[in-house]
Formats: sequence, structure tokens, C-alpha cells
Amino acid sequence: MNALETRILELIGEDPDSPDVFTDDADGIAPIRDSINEAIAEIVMLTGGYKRQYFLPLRADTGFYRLRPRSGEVGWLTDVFLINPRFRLEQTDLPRLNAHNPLWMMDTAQPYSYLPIGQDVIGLYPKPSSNSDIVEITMVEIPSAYTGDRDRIKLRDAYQYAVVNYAVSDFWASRGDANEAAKYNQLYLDAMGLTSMYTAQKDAVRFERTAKEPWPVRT
Amino acid sequence: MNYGDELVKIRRFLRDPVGSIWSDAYIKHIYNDIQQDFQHKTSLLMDVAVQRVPGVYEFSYQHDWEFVYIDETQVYQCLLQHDGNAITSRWEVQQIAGIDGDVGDYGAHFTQPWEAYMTTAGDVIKMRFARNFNSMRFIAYNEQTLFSLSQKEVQNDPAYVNHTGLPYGYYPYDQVDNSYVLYPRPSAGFSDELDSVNGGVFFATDDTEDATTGVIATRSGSFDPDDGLPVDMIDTANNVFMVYEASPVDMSVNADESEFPDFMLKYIRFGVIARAYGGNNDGKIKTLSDYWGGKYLLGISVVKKYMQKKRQDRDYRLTTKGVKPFKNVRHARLPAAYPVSNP
Repeated sequence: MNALETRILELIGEDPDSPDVFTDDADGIAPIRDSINEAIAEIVMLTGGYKRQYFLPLRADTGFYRLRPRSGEVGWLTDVFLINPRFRLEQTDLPRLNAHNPLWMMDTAQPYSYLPIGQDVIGLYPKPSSNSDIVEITMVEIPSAYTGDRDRIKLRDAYQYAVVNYAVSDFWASRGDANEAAKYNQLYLDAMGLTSMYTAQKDAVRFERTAKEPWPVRT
Repeated sequence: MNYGDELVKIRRFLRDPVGSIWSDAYIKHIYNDIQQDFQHKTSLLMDVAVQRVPGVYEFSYQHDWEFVYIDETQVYQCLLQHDGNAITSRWEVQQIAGIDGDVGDYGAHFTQPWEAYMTTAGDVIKMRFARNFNSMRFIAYNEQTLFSLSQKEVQNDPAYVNHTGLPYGYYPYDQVDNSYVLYPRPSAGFSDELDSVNGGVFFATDDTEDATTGVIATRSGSFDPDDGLPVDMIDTANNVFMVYEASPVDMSVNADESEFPDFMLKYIRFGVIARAYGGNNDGKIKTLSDYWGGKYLLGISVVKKYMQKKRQDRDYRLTTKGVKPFKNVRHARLPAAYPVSNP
């Protein structure tokens, strides 16, 4: 039983040292762990709080790759960097590629842009002409559910109380008490509404501007 | 996480672990309905598929009534449909009507699409979208973008049935059958790379096909499970490649896997519980129905925000709709020091 689970048991009136219903084994604590894992996934979805790097080896003439991380699921891609020439790939989309060149799928060269499709597919444009390069992808990863006492909780400390409240609201809902469930769910939502107070880069001053110009129409 | 796992969780929150109030069938129907509702409101599911041309099918059938007796997913409705009948040649309609006369036909008829490449075919060759297809985002044949056409546009070509060449468009043929036609018909010869399985031609050698969608999943040598990030490479050359919005496939047995990512399944569960508590039976509890309904709606908002975050790496330019971008127009002019004036 980890610290989060202990806090939850205290709030729902269980004795963490000698739990009555949610016993300290995989089956007994499973409903609590389900709630914690779901809260972590939702918080990462909203905050992008868990990022991982992956290295995608490119293959000649292959423009589309399905990403299958083992330790979680693809949330979204935040940065894509080509190793050999050392530059970032620009994110693009299908309408832009079609406007640029209806035969864009046939172009083969060093990629300079990428195209996320759906949940886990990435396309590169132009498609690589050789096997010699690697793309370094930084992605927000929705972590896999933790299953053991010693598994790492992939969540910033600041959000851990939010997780506790989420799980307690689930407990009351499973007992049929909608009022108590709504109360703790609101505590969870309050914590989630404080995202701006936990930002990591308060010193950054950002402007809505970009150097991007549309690509010329290929003739 | 399969549907059976979700069902256990749903029953836990309904406090009905053995189905005393809500039967499995009742919950399954709600679940499938909520899946559709969730997808309609979020447009979350999008996928890519690569299809062989011509498509390869396990069985062909003729009449609509045969369809329900075919327990396979990759089937092809062959020949021509005429007023509840299946006919082979167009002149058969005259025979049915008792008219003497033989209308000309366009060529030979076939039961499997690959046969069309063995002769001059008299029918269009249908392809079938993936089973979970909903709407098209992008489609290409042999890596060349295809335009969306209608049958009306295609029939401006008198020889549209036989016209062969490099396809530049496609048109939907039958939405119930989920079929479409490439136009013109691809002229590439049929490459007989099929491996005989149980007396039928289905798999090409070295291919692993996805039986649920009818698309090529991987080809031997293209799957890279251990080298860096595990990926499926999708081979786009000489095939139809499409990007489409998917429609979630209904759950039928507990072992079925939802097409939504695992971390999205809880939102569908919230909707199911809300509907179950709101149903007109002994389990109806309005407060709990409202509570879970609120969580479901909140979940949809969360997913919409999540979808926006997927574009966070885009470089945006703020523009006003309908206003042309500013452009510095330079006119030819003489240098400031012209004409040279002497003091």
C-alpha cells in the first residue's frame, strides 16, 4: 500500500493498518488503484505533466509509423527532432500538404515536417530516403496503470491530493451517496483548476507570434 | 482492457455485481450507444488503413439475404443487383421482363475482384472501406492523392465501367456495404502473390492481415518490435492509403477490446452508469444518474481540451477571416539622389 492509498483509506474511514474492505493485497485494493490510475491519466491528459522521449529509427521510403510505447499510451507529440542534421521538424497537417503538392506522398528526401494522425500514427514529410537517421520524439505519455506497492507514481506532488479526492469521490459514488461523491469530486476539480499556479515557467513571457510562412505552391 | 473488465467496473458502481437489476445485455446496449455518442461529440478516433488493389475477400455473395448467413467479415457482393434479383449480364433484365432483345454488355463478369484483371471486365471493381470507417479525411492510390467524386461526375465518361488508367478519384458505391470504386480502374496488372489457405485465396505470402478491418496490417520484414520504439511500418506504395475518422465497433462479447484508448474508457463508463441509473426500472436513482451524467459531460470537455493539446506544436499565425495578408508592394522609383544637381 503506497502513501496515496493510505490517505484515501483514512478519508473513507478505513484503518490503513488493518483495512476491513480494501485489504492490502492486489485484489482488495484494486478498486482504489483503479481510481488512482484513472485520475493520473486524466491529470496527465489535461496538464501534459508526464513526458518521455522515444527514438524512432527511420527506414528508407517509409513515411508512416505507428507508435507503440510499452510504458504507456501516446498522449500527444510536443517536439520532434531529427538527429543527423540537428533540427526540429515542423508540425503540419493534411490540408496543408495537399495544398502544397497533391503528390506529396511520393516525395523522398530528408524530412523537415511531421504529421500526427489519430492517436498513435506519425507521418514524415518528405519521407526519408535512407535508413541512416533517427527521429527523437518527445511526447506526453499517458502512463500505464501502476499495479504494485513499489511502482512509481508518475505524477507531480502538487496533484497528489487531487488524486486522493478523485478516488474518495469514486468510493462514495460506489456506495450510492451522490452528495458526498459530488463534494469530493468538486475538491478534485478545484485542484485541477489551479493549473496556472503550478506552472513551471512563471518567468516566461510569451507572445502570440510566429515566423511561419506558408509553403509555396509547387508548380 | 477488454469489455469484460469494464463490465465489472460498471457493475461495481451500479452496486449490482450479479445482474439482479441490470442484465448484461441491457448494459451492453447502453455501452455501444454511449461509444457512438462519445465519438460523435469528440471525433477522437481516427485511423489509417492500407488496402490491396484489388481487394482480396474470403467469400463472395450475390443476394442481400445471403449476407446474414455469412459469418465472415471480408466478403464481396458480386455481379449486378436488379430489383431484388442478382443478375450476371445486363440482357437478363430483358428476359425477366419478357422482351426479346439483347442489350450490349461491357465485358465479362466476375465473382472475385482479382478475376477482373484476367479479362475485359464488364462491372466496376468495388473496394470496401475498413469495417470501422466513418468518414474520409485523405485517400491516395500509389501515393497520389485521390479526389472525392460522385457517380454523376464519373458517368460523364461513357466508358466509365471499363476505363482503365491511373486513378485520380474515388466515389462511394454503397454506404450499407461500405464500398467504393476507384476511377479510372487501376491499370496495374494483378500480381498473383496469394497464398492458398483452406482452399481459398486470402493472404498474400508474408502478409499479416487484420481480419477485423480487411486491411494489410504488416508485411514480413516491416515490423520492428524491439528496435527503439516499436512501430508498425505502413507500406503505401501500390496500395490505397487512407486516413479516416473511425466509428467505434460494437462490443459483442466480454473479450472484445474497445477501439478507444484505455485512458478514455472511464468516460464511456460514466455515461453508461448515468443511463443505467436513469432507466425506468428498480434501479432508478435520479441523484446518481445526474452525478454520473455530469461526470460524462465533464469527460467530453476534458477530451475536447485534450484534442486541442495535440496541436500544441503547431506554429500559428493570427489572421482575420476574409482579409488578404499584408504585403509590402514596392514600386520602381528613382534613387533619392536623382537627378544630380550641381551646386
